[in-house]
Amino acid sequence: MSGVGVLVDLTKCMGCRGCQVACKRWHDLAGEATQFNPEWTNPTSISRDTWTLIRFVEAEKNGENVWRFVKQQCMHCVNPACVFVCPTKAMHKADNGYVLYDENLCIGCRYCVQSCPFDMMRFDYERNRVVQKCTFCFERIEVGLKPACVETCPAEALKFYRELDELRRDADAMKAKGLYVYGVEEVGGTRWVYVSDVPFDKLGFPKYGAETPAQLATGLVSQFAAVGLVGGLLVVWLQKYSERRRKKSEGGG
Amino acid sequence: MGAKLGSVKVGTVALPQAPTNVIYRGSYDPSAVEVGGILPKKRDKSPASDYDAKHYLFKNWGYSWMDNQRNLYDVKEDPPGLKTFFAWWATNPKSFLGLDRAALWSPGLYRPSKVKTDVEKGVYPAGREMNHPEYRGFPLHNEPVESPVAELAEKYPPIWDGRWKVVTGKREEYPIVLTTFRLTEHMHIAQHTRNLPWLAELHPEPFLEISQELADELGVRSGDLIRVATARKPDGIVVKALVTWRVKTLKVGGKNVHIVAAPFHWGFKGLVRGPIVNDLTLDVGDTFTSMPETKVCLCRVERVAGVV
Repeated sequence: MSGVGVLVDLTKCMGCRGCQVACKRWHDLAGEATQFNPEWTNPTSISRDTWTLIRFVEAEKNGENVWRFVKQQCMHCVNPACVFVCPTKAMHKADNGYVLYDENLCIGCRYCVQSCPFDMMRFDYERNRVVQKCTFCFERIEVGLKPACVETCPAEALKFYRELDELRRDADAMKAKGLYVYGVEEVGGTRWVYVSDVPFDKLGFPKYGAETPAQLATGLVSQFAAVGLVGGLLVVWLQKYSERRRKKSEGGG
Repeated sequence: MGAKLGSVKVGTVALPQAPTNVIYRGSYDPSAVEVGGILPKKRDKSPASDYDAKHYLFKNWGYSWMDNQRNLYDVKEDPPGLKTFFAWWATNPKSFLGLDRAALWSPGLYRPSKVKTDVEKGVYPAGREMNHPEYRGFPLHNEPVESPVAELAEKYPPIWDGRWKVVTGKREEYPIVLTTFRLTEHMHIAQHTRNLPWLAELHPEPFLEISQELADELGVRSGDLIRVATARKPDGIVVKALVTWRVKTLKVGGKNVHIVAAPFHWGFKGLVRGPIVNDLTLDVGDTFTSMPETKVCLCRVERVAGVV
């Protein structure tokens, strides 16, 4: 698989949130008025002004409490659900695999926001009425730089790859060492791949199979067809049955 | 390098070699022609790894002449004859034969006899001299001025000469240990970082980390308001509680000693504001270095009822 990718090593992340600030700095996003959050995650979720976020997760490993810091942003799926559902191609897959958004084509239906398997998109209702999400810093990558968050990471927990194949080779090697990998198979593969020493269901990652969103949707539609067929036959049979009952009762009376 | 007289060539220049001057001892060696005799030039200015290069770290920079080696001597340590030998070696000019290294010595060794020790001044209990840094090369444990356990405070007396008056609380009145810490997102008292929206949003409000045991005793959950009070500020400050496993209750002498921890980054101005935690801490410092002892003091924690 060609195209760019980032490997997030959760065993290295120390939760400094430099990526969060670097993203806001590069994209000139506003700070938010937040409140105290006992979990330390702040702002509490992705928003129009927060495209990437460190989620602080308290998990358990070998009976001991551990603190893990999960970076969240658009996963830039290889088979993106948002691109699949977009009726106008406003949401599109660009060269190198960036999942990008063209606000000139957008009609504001927000299907993409609803369809995202990771809930990493927000519609800006108040200001511009556009979808806001991580752009993979494609403008930096195209001139030979790394994404802003990767560039700033002091723990080197984020590693940028020009080729997704290389990333997956490294991820496989880490999997062989006994670490958990997320994003190689899930929803047909994502360009942000996570490596962790704690199982991902304990870190609050959604559980997905290897089916792409398109395959899932096709399966769902065919199920609808089956339901319709069976339901139609049932209706016909009920009609016939009640007719016979009526005839019977009329004949008997 | 020896102390013999004569002249040596440094490059093309012939320099007379004087008997080793104590000040320059070890820093100048004419035989090291590649650095012109100046040994500190031997320090490695290149970063040790790619990571160091990226973050401008130069771990090999600090050259410790004469041969980049650091020796630490605890002259109060056994064997007993060693102390006498080191005392002679360090104080007798004739003993310098170019054998010395950068060394850490017991400060008591160089103290002029006119200056009184803390024990002689009466600010440190007699009989505990071996715990005092004046008497020892390496520091030992000393309890803070406000210690939660009386027996420990007697065994390891605090080093504070009482150069100004401080208010300390009673253990019965303030049974809990308060420690302060910093957050990655803020710097010091955060005049800069609390005025930068991108950083202010990450930690907008002060809080107090308390253990699950203490939270159960007080009936507090994360986010509830609690009051922390010390002898310096009996009214205390009101902050939000954070119940966590990261703060653990200690068991000292069969007794539970609770610890609470508060970041001290807030003040009365800025985008995000909050009470000043260092109003609660003690204004004492180490006798020798004046290093403030704001990291530990005794406090009282209570729930603020009725308000979320």
